[in-house]
Amino acid sequence: MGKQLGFLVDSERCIGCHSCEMACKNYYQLHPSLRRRKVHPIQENDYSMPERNYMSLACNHCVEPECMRVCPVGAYSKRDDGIVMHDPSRCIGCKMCIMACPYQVPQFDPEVKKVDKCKMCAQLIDKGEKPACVAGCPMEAIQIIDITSFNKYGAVKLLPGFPNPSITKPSVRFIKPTIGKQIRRDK
Amino acid sequence: MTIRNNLRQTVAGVPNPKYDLFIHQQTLFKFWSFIGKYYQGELLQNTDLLHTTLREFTDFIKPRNPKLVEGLELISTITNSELQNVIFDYNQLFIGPDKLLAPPYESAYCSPEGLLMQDETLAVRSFYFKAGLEVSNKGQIPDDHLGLEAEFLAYLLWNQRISLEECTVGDNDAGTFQQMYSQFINQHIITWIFDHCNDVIKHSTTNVCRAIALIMYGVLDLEKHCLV
Amino acid sequence: MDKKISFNRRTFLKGAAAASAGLAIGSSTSSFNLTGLKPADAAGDNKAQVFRNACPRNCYDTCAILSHVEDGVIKRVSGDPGSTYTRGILCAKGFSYTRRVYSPDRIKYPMRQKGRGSGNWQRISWNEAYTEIAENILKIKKEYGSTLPICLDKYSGNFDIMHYGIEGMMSSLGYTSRATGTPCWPAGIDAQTFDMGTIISNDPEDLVNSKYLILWGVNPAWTSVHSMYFVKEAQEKGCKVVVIDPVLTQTASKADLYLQIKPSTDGALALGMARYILDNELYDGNWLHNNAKGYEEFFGYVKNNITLEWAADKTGLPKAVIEQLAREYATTKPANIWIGYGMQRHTNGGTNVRAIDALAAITGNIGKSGGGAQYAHLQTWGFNYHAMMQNPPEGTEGGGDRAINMNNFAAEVLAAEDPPIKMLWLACRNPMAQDPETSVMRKAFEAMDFVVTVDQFMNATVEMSDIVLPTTTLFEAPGVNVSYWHWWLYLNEQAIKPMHEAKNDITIAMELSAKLNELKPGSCTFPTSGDLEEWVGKEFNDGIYQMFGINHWTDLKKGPAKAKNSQVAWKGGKFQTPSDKYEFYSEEAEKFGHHPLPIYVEELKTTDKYPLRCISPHWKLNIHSQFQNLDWMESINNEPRLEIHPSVAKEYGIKDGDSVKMFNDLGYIILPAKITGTVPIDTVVTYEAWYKSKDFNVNYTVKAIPADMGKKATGMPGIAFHDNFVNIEKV
Repeated sequence: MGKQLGFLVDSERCIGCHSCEMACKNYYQLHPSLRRRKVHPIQENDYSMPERNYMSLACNHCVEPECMRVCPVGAYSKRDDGIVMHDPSRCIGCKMCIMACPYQVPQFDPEVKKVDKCKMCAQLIDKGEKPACVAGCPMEAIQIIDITSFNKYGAVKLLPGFPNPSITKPSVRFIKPTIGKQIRRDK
Repeated sequence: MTIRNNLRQTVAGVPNPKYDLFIHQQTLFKFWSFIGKYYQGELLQNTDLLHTTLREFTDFIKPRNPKLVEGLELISTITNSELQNVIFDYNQLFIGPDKLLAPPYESAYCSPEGLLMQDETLAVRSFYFKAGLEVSNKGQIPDDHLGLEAEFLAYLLWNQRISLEECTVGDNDAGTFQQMYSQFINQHIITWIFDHCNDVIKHSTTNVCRAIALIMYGVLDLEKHCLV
Repeated sequence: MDKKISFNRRTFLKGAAAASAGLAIGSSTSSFNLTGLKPADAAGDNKAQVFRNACPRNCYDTCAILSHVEDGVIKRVSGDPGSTYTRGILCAKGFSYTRRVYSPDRIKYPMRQKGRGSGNWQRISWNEAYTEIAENILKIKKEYGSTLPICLDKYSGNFDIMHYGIEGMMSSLGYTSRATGTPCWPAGIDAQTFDMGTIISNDPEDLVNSKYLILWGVNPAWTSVHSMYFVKEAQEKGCKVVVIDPVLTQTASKADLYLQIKPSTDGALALGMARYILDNELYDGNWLHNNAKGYEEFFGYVKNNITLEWAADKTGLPKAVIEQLAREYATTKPANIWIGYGMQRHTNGGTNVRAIDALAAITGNIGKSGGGAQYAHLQTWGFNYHAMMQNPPEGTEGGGDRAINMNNFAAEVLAAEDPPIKMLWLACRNPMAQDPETSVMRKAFEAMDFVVTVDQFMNATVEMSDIVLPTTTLFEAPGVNVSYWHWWLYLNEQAIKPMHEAKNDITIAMELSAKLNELKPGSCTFPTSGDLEEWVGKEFNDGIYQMFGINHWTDLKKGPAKAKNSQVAWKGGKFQTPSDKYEFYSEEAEKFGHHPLPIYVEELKTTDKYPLRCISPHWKLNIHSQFQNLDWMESINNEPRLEIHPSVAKEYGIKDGDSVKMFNDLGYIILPAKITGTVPIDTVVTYEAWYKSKDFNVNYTVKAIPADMGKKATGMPGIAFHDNFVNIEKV
């Protein structure tokens, strides 16, 4: 099996500050409605005690990308390193990929009337640099890993609220947030 | 204004096609000069002059579509109190200090972000540069401000007329200006001017600003059909 | 191609007599009259450049920024890796800076409002603005014989050192009224001043060395993300992180132990811990003997007045928990406490900080790497303040500036007499939005003859001004900045030309001075011209050069510099109190009307009518009224929420998303509810912010209740923002 690059999202380190989202928007000077990376709050009821936890998601560069499968004009392609690329010059804005993706990753750019999506800053990776979100996280909570050889104890394939990974086999791994001891007054 | 031989309406009894073009360009020149001055903030200190100038539109602009009809009609209904208030209307549409109701910048409508000084601004800057011009306050005033774009178009038309009149270097010079004019209109005006005019029509509180927007809409509507 | 320009516009128009008067057709002898355009120069500035900038916001982190400029336009920003605190990363706000610089909503020209609050704005030229302002100043001077009726309200909107030139501008007019004090942190400053002599804190990069870290009423995950990295590093190295906060904040979610203390009772917890430490002899007797004064009196107070049962009852925390906390804190070395500013925004905030300081002192943690009681420091702020130090004009009478309490600004402006206040100058401040008692503030503005605001966006203060002057962002003028938390020094280079007609505050001061002197020679001493970079240079002195190990301030163009002196505050135990020792017993405190010891002062309590407390902390996507108004922020979150505990919500019949009215006898706000267990049962939380298209302002309900301390170090007591008692109902 070849290489499959993906994101390691450490929700224990993550403080939900949105710097990763903004670092991406800043790098590409995106339209305000386009959030290639989104920081999603995790429902507090999904944990034993209420806490403020987040899951930062961009494109999952799936092993079996639905977007690529349904695109009628072949605008999607998967590189040897596993990054799923979208070619705006071929895109006709039909939005099939938007409907097909279980993670709502592709977004419609209202100005150019085409789809927009995270490409893991492939051009930076090719130069040996880090993607904007990885470089822009104050907590170093996002890393690029090779899913095929990644083997960290405690890493999981999903967090509460994340769609079933068996559909498209997303290349993302998470470190669960730990809940500390809480002395509360609302018992 | 002397009209040389090659710009006579007929030459040896035959209608001169260059004459029609000449008159058409004259109309556009008057229009774009006006728009340039208006959007650069002139003509507002002297509302009487503004009113007079607007009334003259009926002399040289033929009402050939509904927007032009409506705009020209509105001009005749402009009251004195509206003239008093035109400065406030103008400011809330184009100047500030609050959020602009009809920002007079191409990139506010065309850039993916609605921000200023984006790619469109720089594309306009290159265009000006090709014509040997640049913004007097480059970097501080966005190049794609409508007042500047209009001044540029008037500049191109002026030079085209000079070339036509003086027959310099054959027809080529006039042709070059004509080409630049068409390109600029297609690439940098048609793309956003209708949305801008609609914003003015919607938010304007005086018939003055509204009339100007209707006329601009009407003129560009015709232009976009004429240009190849 | 014809590029001739006609310079004489009048002839041009006249020559078109045959054509219409207003349109330029002209004669064939003249050329096209270019006004906004001109013949192009050579190739132009296409090259890509990177500039160094320093974020001047009121923030612990004040980052070192790099701005990437092409064709004279900032393409993006990044953090400067040359600072080991910034580490090449900004934050959500920093990364959004381009939206601010190029926002179409930015105020572009000087404008004049015809009728304050009417919304009828006219564009004026800078010359017209200066003329009107100067005439008003001179009129006031003539009528009252002084410039005391002119009042400056300026604070933390921009902390870049150059902006102290605004105070300088005021000084150069004569003696004026000045908003004095600081709303955010003075109670804690006084507390540490009584205890230690002044505020000094360890280098935050030293946090990694702590083995026990109490984050007390501070939320660095939202307000100091760069420090959070060091907190995490400490945690990874085995440090136990304890968060004490009435609200389960983002930081609390990262703690090993979270204590949901009752608001405003932090002193009781500290004193309870001290009792335990005393009883179990876990204090550092040696350190106290050598470095402290009054510890016997303190121990006496604790022994006779404080019990753990009392502390548990007061704080709502179980006795066993307090005991364990005290034991762990006292026996783990080194143990650190970071005291937050939110914690001291209560009527007993200052004395609570004193009690916490006492904990650090009795355990011998002060002056140790990885230990101490961190609050803030001003050690790296030893500039010349050249721009600020201006002299009044010759012949000025009177004894000095008049202090107006910044923390009760509106009421004091209205009450001022002999002479009254007639003119306001607002810069780096937005009191109509950020101050308590908005309705009184409105009255104060309405009572003025003339109001000038210098700002970038149309906010509530601009709405109530006569003239607004557009000002530059950090990228559009040179400057220099430091921090009250980290120990770095950053140069701010001018990366782009000022947008539209924006001007820097120093430029405004120079040009206003020129106008004043034109109308009345000698009426203003502020220099009337000067290069802004030279102004920056004049702020530096040998002390700064030595402290930062640089030869000249231009060295900073190559990279940031860090202070060379000790990473650790109060190392060696030489304090700056009258006794040179850590003072548990402080006569200075007594002089200011406080008990000399860090005793417990009763907290304000809710009433039957207003049984809920409203805490209004800082929000993660803004700094007060800056940033939340930008489009990128709005796309993440565009709505304030009222955070309500599930059982409270049930009691009031409120579901998630319902519209809720939060009110007291001062005013009300209406906003959607967010039901969450992260807030306690007796408190609702909403984050103070300016949403530009919403009429939301928690200050409609906030009274200007003074905190206990602040007068000694900052001239005025602070504000007890978090002692706001309200009721709620579903609408």
